[in-house]
Amino acid sequence: MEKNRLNKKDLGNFLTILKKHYSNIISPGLDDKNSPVFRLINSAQEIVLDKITPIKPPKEFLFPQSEELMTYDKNDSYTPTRIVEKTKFAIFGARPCDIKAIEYNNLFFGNKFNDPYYQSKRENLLLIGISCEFPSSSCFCTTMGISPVESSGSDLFLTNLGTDYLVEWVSDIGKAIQQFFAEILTEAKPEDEKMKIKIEETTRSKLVEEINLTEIKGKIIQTYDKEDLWKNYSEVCIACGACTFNCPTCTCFDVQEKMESLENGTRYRTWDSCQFYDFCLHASGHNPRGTKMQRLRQRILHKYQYSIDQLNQWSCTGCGRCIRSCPVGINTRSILKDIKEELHG
Amino acid sequence: MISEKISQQVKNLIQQEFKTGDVILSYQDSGTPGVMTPIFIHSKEDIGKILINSLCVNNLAVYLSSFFQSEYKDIKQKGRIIITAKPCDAKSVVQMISDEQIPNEKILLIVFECDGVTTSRLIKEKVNQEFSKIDIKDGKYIVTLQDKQSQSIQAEEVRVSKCKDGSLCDLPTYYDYYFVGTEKSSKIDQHSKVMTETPLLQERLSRTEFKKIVDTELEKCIRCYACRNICPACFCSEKCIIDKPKLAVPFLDKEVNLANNILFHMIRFNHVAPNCTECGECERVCPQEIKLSIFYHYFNRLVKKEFGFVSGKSDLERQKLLNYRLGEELV
Amino acid sequence: MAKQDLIYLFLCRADKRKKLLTEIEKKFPNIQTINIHCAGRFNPILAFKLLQQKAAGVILLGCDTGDCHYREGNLFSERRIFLARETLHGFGMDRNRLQALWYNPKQIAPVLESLETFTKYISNLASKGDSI
Repeated sequence: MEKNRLNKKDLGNFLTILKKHYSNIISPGLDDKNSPVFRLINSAQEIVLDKITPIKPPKEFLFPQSEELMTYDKNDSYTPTRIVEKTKFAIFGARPCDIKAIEYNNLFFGNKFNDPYYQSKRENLLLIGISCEFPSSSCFCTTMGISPVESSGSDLFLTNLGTDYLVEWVSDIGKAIQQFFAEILTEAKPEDEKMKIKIEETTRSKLVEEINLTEIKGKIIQTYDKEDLWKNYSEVCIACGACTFNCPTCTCFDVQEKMESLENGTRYRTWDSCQFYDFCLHASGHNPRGTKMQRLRQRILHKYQYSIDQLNQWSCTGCGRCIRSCPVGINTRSILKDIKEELHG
Repeated sequence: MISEKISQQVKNLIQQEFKTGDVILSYQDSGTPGVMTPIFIHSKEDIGKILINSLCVNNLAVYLSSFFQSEYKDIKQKGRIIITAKPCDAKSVVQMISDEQIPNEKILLIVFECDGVTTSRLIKEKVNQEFSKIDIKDGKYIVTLQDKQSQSIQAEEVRVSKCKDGSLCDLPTYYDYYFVGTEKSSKIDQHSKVMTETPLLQERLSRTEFKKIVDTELEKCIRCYACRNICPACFCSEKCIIDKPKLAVPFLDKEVNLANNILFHMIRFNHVAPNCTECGECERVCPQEIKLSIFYHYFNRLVKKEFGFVSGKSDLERQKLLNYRLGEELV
Repeated sequence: MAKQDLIYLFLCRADKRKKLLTEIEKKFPNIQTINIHCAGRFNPILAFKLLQQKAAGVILLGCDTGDCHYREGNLFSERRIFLARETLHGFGMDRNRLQALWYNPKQIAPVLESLETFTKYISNLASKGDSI
C-alpha cells in the first residue's frame, strides 16, 4: 500500500486541493452546544477531531431521512424522480466504526436489488478515515473485531503521528488522486507502523470493557426461545426507536404516498424502525411482532446472527451510539454478556 | 443526595411487603458508567439488585398504564405493583389515578425524599471528558476519568434544571410510604421558584421573534417519538392517532419536515396539557436536545391560572376538561 | 383559493340552519362549510392541521347554552376551544385564527355580522403579509 506523510500545518492546503475535485466536504464540527456533529465545512479550522465521535452517524448523507422516489399524475402515470446527484462530496474524519458501517451498507443496498438512489450518492463519495484516539464510555469496536486504526474500507486513511499525519492510499480511487497532492506530501518513515500499533494499544486501554465473542459467533440463534433473557430488557424498553435512528447500519425504511391534490402526488421513503408497533403489522390486522420482547429480540438477532447468515459480516460495528441514545439506559454490551453466559454457563 | 440509608430502608420495606405475584418497579445499575436503568423484579431473590441514588433520574410511572390496558395481552398481573418514586414521579402516579387509568388498590406507592438528581450527560459537560466510573460519597460525585485520574464534584453543580425549583417537588396528598432524611450538604432551596416564576418566552418576546425560536428548535426534530413514549401522561399508547395505521389517509404524513414536526408537537401538547406534571422527561430523552421546556412550562402555568387545577396533587379531583357538569362555570 | 384567504366553518344542526347557509354562500365566497352533528364532536387537532396546511382561519358555530340538542356537547367544546386557542399562542401563532360562536339556529343576522368581522380580520392579516 502506498504511504506518505502530511504535515498538520498543510491540512488547509490539503482541503483546498481536495475541494477542486470534491466540491462538498463533510467533517465533524461543533454545534451551538459544543457537541460534535457531521456537517458541511468551509475551512480547516472548523474540523474537530479531538472529541468522541458525533452521535448522529454519517449515514444521512448517503441515505437521507426523507427522500422522494417518484411523482404520479392522473394523466401521466408514474414518473421516477430523476436522480441528478452529480455533486461529488467527501467525508473527512470518519472513524473505523463508521467506515465499516458504510461498507456493510454498500453490501446491503447492492445485494439482491441494486438501490439506485443509494448507489448514485455512493459513486460520488470519497471516504477519508481517521484513527480513533478518543473513545466514549459506550464504545466497544474491539469486541466486534474492528481495530481503532484499521484502514480497510476507506479510500484514504489518516493516522495521527504527532506533528504529521500518516496517509495511506487504500482503494483504487484513493490511489488515483494521490498525484494531485504530490507537492505537500513527504516520505513515510519505517517507524510509523510502530506508532500505529502504539495508538491502537492506548485507545484499547481506554475502553470500558471488551467481550470475547468468537465462541458464540453464529450460535446466538440458540437463545431464540429463552424468553426470560429478552424480557429482562424489553420490559424496560419504551419502543421509541432512538437506537435505530442513530445506528449507522440500520437501514429500514417505509414507503408512503402523499396526495397533493386528487389528481397528483408523490411517493417518498422515510426512515422506519423495527421497534415501532406497526412495523410488522399486516393488512389483515395480524401482527407477528406485537410484543416488545419479540421486537427487541429481532433487533439483536438481526445485528449479530442474521447478518452473518445473509452477508457473512457482523452488522454491528461497536460504535456505542445505541447505548448513548437509549432513554432508559439499556446496554447492548450487557445483552451480549447475558447471551454468552446463557450459551456457555 | 439520596443517602444509602434510604436505599437500604426502601429495600427492607420491600422485602417485608413482597408477596408472590407482585411486581416491583425500581432502579439498578446498567453497566454504562453514570447511567441507572429501571428494573422489573418478579421474585424475592432479585430484590438485592435494587440500587437507589442520585443518578436515578427515570420516571417509572410510564410503565404503569400498560399493565391495565387490554392490548397488552402478554402482561397478566395478578398481584400488586410496588413502585419506588421520587416526589416528582409520585405526582405522575397520582395524576394517572385521578384520570382513572390505574386502580389505586393495586398500586403500592413508596416515595423517598430526594435532593436533586443528575444525568451522565451533565457530568460529562462538567468534567469535559469521558469517564469510566462514578462513585457517590459525602454529598459529592467522585469521577474516575479515562486517564485514570479522579475528580470530585459537588452535587449542586450538576443538578438537572427542574431540581433548581423547590416548588416542583411538593408531595402529593396520596401515597403509601414516605422515607425522609437526606444528607444535609446539598438541600434544594424550597423557596426558590426560578422555574415557575421566570417570565415565559411567550410573554417576553414578540410573536414573530418567538416563532423563529420555535422554527429553529423544531427543525431538529427527527420524529423518533421518544418524547411521546416516555411521557406518563401520554397513555393512549398503541391507539395514538399519529400511529393509526388502519386509517385510509394518515392524519399526519410520515415525511419529516418543519410543518409536520410543528403539527406533531401541537397535537401532543394539546392532548397532554391538563395532565402534564412538568416531570421534564420529554426534554431529557430527546436525542436532538430540543428545549421542550418552553412548551410544557407554558401549558402548566396556563392550566393552573385559568382552570385553577394543580395536576398530580390529589387522586380524587378530576382534571377540568373531563369533569364539566351543567351549571358549572365554564372557565 | 390561496392559503391566506380560505376559511373553514364547522357548524352544527345544518338541517335547521338552511337559510343561514344560503346567505353564507352568497356573501362569503371564501368560506367553506362543514356539517357536524354537534359542536361537541369538534376535535381541535382538525383545526391545527387545517391552519398548518390549508387555511387562514377556522370557526366553530354551535348552539347557545341550554339549547344543545345533546344536552352538554357545546359546553365541553367551549373548554376545549379555549385550550386550543392557547395552544396556538403557545407555538407562536395568532390565537384569533380559531374562534367559536354560540348562536341558535334562529339567529341569522348576528352570525353574519360576526363572520364579517372575522373575514375582515383575516384579510387584514393577509395584506400585512402575516402568515402565522
